[in-house]
Amino acid sequence: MGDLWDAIVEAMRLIVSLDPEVMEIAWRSLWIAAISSGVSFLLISLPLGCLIHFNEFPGKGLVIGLIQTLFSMPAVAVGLIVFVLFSRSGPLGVLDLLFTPAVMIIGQIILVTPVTLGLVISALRGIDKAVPETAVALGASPWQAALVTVREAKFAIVTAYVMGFARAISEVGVSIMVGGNIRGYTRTLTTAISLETSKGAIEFSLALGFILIFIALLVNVVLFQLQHRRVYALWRS
Amino acid sequence: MEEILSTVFEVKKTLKVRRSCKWLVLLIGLILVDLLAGCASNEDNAVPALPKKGRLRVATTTSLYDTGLWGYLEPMFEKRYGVELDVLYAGTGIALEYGRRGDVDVITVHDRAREEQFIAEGLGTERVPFAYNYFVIVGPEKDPAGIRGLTPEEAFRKIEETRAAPFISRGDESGTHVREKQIWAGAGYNYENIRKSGDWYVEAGTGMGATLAMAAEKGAYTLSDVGTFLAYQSKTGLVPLVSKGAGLLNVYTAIVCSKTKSREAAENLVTFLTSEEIQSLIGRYGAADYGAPLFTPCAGQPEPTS
Amino acid sequence: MALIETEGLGQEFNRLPILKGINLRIERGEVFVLIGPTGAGKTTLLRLLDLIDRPAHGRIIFDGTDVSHSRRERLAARRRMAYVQQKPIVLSMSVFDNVACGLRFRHEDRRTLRRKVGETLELVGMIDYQDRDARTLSGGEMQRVAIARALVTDPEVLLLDEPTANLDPLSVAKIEGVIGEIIEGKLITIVMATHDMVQGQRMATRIGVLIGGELLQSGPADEVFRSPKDDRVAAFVGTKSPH
Repeated sequence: MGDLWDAIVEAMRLIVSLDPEVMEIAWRSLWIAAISSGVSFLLISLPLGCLIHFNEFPGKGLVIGLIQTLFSMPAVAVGLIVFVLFSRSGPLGVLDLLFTPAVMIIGQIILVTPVTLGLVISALRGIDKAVPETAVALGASPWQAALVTVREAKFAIVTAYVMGFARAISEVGVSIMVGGNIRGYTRTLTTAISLETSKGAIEFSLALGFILIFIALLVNVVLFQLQHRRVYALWRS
Repeated sequence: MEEILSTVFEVKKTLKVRRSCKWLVLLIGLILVDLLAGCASNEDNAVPALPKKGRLRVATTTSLYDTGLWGYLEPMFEKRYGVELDVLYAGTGIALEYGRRGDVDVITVHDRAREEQFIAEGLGTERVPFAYNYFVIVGPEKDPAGIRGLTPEEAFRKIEETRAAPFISRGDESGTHVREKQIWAGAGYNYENIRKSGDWYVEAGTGMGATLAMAAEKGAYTLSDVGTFLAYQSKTGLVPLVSKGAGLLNVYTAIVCSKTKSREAAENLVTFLTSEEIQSLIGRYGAADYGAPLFTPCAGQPEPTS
Repeated sequence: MALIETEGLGQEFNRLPILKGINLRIERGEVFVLIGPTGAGKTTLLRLLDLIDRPAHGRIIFDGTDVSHSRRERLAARRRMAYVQQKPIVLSMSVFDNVACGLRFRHEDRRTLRRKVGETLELVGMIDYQDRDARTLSGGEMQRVAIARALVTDPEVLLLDEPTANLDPLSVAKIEGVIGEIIEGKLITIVMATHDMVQGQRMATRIGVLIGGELLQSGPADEVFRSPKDDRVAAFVGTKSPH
């Protein structure tokens, strides 16, 4: 118990004193996770989720089942696969992306997309199909009708993004395998925790852990505001 | 193509026109800001924007890292040669694998047998020893198995026979771990039997620092390089019990990997490590903090054998 | 030329036929009321006419063009019509935004949009509610919003699916009033489904009787009621059978 308390105190001290190295890795954790989850959500899951949900095709149930199975993909496994792909002796080695933030983002996108995709589809499922039908009846094209449905489901849809972000910022397996945990370049909070732990610096590791949770809290407060502004507006009328 | 354009146009218009889509715009804005910031922060502060080629990767054994030596040398190298140095904390086994795959440009490791095989396979140009120290067998002050002053092999035998205290092994194919196995073999044991022989033998699977911490926690013995041991001594309270013996010599070498794409920078690093100035710095590293230097420089001399 | 024509139109659900051999002509500017018992297939037929669903058999010809197949043509034709569902759902936005939907789908410019939405809300008597969240409205109010939503796009055809079902008499009167004003004020074709015969008789130019998925008779109101062609029609409208 003393250890935990010491760690919390240490975490506060690191934050308040704006320790430069800690700030640097915290910022890196944040922007890498934001980009991975953002790209995964906006460019892949939202459009693909709409396509899957609004169209019937053979094997649709299987596809959705597969997506949900991939929720449980271990980050380390994804990290290994991406490592082997992007290693200089691997098929994509010529891109020379290993041990850079870019490949960490790619790996995280692979890790996080099943989650955001599955939750987007789940969110859309929760909306009565009368919604897109009404839109269509009013002259909406298929994509316009999809957008209307997305708006009706916005609470659950934003949650899909939040889950993606959470998975991205908290993972170690991908970051450490393909990023290499290089100080000043690819080190993030989670990889730093891993390193410090393996060096035996438990207190510092815990402190970093608390900072990570603190960041996640900040992000969620912001998104919470966005979600609930609408609920408040409804209540107001 | 037309359909894609019209869809994008529709999406844009739909988004712009809906006042209540503020939240979506904000979210996108947040992400875009991060993206831009990411591009900005990709450039390290000290060195101005470099083309991709300006990064050199070295995979290092953990003991060179845990002692802080790399943290000490890295900025000096970067400043002198204008190359970003990426130090990967790896452990000998992984470092060799990275070198094999061509994912790093230089490796600094400490396992002669595997290094020679690495060269023999054409994966490295030559072994360049640049520093050495010794392994030590460390343990609790009260030395329950009574190994103080023995040879390494005798000490191991006593630890196994008495089992008065546990033994923590790195268990991770690191240079230290390989050396530990060699000592067991020298003492006449079959390593596989040791692994199965009981709870007294603990395979930690962690770096040197964490292994030392575990040994301190359990009042156990372990094999460590003297550098990391001294760096952590105040925290662990362990003491060196066996520090003499041919089997304890620990030579660090740097090897340029054959598959490197930055040969010039890689060779610069080796030149740097073996240069007179740096050699003398290595020879003094840690003296102030730990009472004795952690390494002895040896570049250019015949490789030490004891 | 009729505005909407169907030839041998048929629809199935899970292989079971719901509509069979529907041959229909709807003339420009008329009020065509589809009457029939619940489950006769009125909603199914309206959905086919609005080109929401594809028919299992037959063709639909809208303003001279066969719209059975091409997606683009169906969309274009659909945008000239408007459909108010039986239990309309409102989207989670203000009344104004709900009504503006159709115009926004058509990329109407802001100023015109404001004007048209305002006018239509006045027409249905909901102008004071425009900033309210549509989900907080009563049944009758939602129905009027749905009608406004459909009307604002200036459709050539307005399809109404039992617009006054489940409403209290006061709301029914209001809605009928609104429809009456629409008929008087605009050049519009109305296709309305109802099981209320009296309402049908009151409002229709022509009536179509749909029973068991078949269009048994269609023609001017008194013709249908006074001279039913079929036992089933007679039974439904309550007149003596012709035989």
